[in-house]
Amino acid sequence: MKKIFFVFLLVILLGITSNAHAVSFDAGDIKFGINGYLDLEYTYMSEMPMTNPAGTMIMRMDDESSLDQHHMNLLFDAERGKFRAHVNLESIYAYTTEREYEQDTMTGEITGGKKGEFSMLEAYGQYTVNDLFKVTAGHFLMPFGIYNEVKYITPLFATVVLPQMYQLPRMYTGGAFIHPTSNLMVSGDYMREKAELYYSLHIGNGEREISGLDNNKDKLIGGRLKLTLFDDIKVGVSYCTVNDNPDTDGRNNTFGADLDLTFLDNLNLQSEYILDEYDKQRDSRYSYYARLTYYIDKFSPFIAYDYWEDKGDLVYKRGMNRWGAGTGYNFTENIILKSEYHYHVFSGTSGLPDDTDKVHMFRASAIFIF
Amino acid sequence: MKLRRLYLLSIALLLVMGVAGISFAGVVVIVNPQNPASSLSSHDLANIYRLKKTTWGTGKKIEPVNLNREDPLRKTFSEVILKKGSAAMEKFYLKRALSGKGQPPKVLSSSSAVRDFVKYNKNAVGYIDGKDADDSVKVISVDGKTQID
Repeated sequence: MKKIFFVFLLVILLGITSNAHAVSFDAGDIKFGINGYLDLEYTYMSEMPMTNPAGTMIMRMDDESSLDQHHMNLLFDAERGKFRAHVNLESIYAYTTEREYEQDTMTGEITGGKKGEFSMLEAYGQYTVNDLFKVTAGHFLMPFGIYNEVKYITPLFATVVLPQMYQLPRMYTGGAFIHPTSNLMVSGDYMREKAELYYSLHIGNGEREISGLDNNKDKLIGGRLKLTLFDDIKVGVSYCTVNDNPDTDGRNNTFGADLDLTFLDNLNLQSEYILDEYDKQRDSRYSYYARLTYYIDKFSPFIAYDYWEDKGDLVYKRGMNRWGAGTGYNFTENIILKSEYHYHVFSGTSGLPDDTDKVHMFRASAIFIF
Repeated sequence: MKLRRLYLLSIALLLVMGVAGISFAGVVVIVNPQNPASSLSSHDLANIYRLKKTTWGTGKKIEPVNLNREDPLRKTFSEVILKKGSAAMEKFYLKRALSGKGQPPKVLSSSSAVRDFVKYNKNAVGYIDGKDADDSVKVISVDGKTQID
């Protein structure tokens, strides 16, 4: 019944969004913009290993499939002279499934409201002194690596799922790699004919979940530098530090390095490395990936390799390799279709339940921008 | 003989007028006459329309203005300055808006409407057909040229 409902919704959305456009209007000297998007996502995963909630025992998770709405977001913008305000609201329903599949709380508990309500993903104001110096205050997705600022904004990338450093493996209990948000930032761009340098320095509360709380007094401090050469070569480094769980983990430092290279007009190579270190009991984690995408007309086929390892986790301490291939397709300006296949292989199999060291995953999504 | 000279002179005059006419037609970039800027590099102009360069040298917020995506002037401007077609730029603007990086430039329906908008907005920049340019706006050079082609 649920699937019939989603197919019905899909058909209606195809009709509604095929001619839809974002709303933009002026009121006096204030410029307003309203945008939105939602997506439907199908996932199939074969049997895979997992740990119990306490993380002390390896178990088998049966294969399963799901068809869900993952995101439904409404974005509001207002600009007046050098001041700009931006709000991104996400439906709680979408947020809950996001937690189940990407952050994996095991329970799927809702922490910030009831299903059907909207939660605040971002709400901030930005004042531009000049291009070299902008001040942002509020609640915004933290600049870190290539995707942290857009990880919930599915129309902005060609794949269904992001690299594992951004979207953690399913049923992993170790928490997000990268802190999602920050609260006060200075940033800017130094632009020259052949080169541009972007910088950001920020301080935030340091919570690990979008709607989570961080009760310790220590605040997250972070920054990012990105050098762009000839428009096609982008090299970035990111860093953040926070006293995450002072009694158990101690200080947590996260380092990232990224490369985005466009060549032969339509080929794009992206690669990133991230290291997450703790100075107390918790072991370090790291991940890296490389992805080659070919943009041809409305299609964006890609191949990717992704590695993930967490020494402190019973399953992922052995390291997991993920090979992937798929394509995105811009059906219209407002409708994006994506599909991809992933093949996961654990580097070591000892202690894993039978037939769970190789995991197959198929994912497909339809995104509607309105 | 006099008639022949007069004839040649007329031909030369027509040629000069013709050349002058051709050089003035096409896409020109304009700012408000009170704006001290008299030239821009194509790189800076592209960055203005890519919403990356947002302030003039004076520190004032730049207000770029666009034409409809089907307008031939916009197509020329997009391909020559932005190195992308109008449709690709629309997609680019949508992505910027979704990621909270700013709203796209205001879109006006005609070259003369752009001229009038720039005329009344000190920090505006736009592009129009050269034949619509008059004393109410200032034509600035891009990479040393007054016309985009």
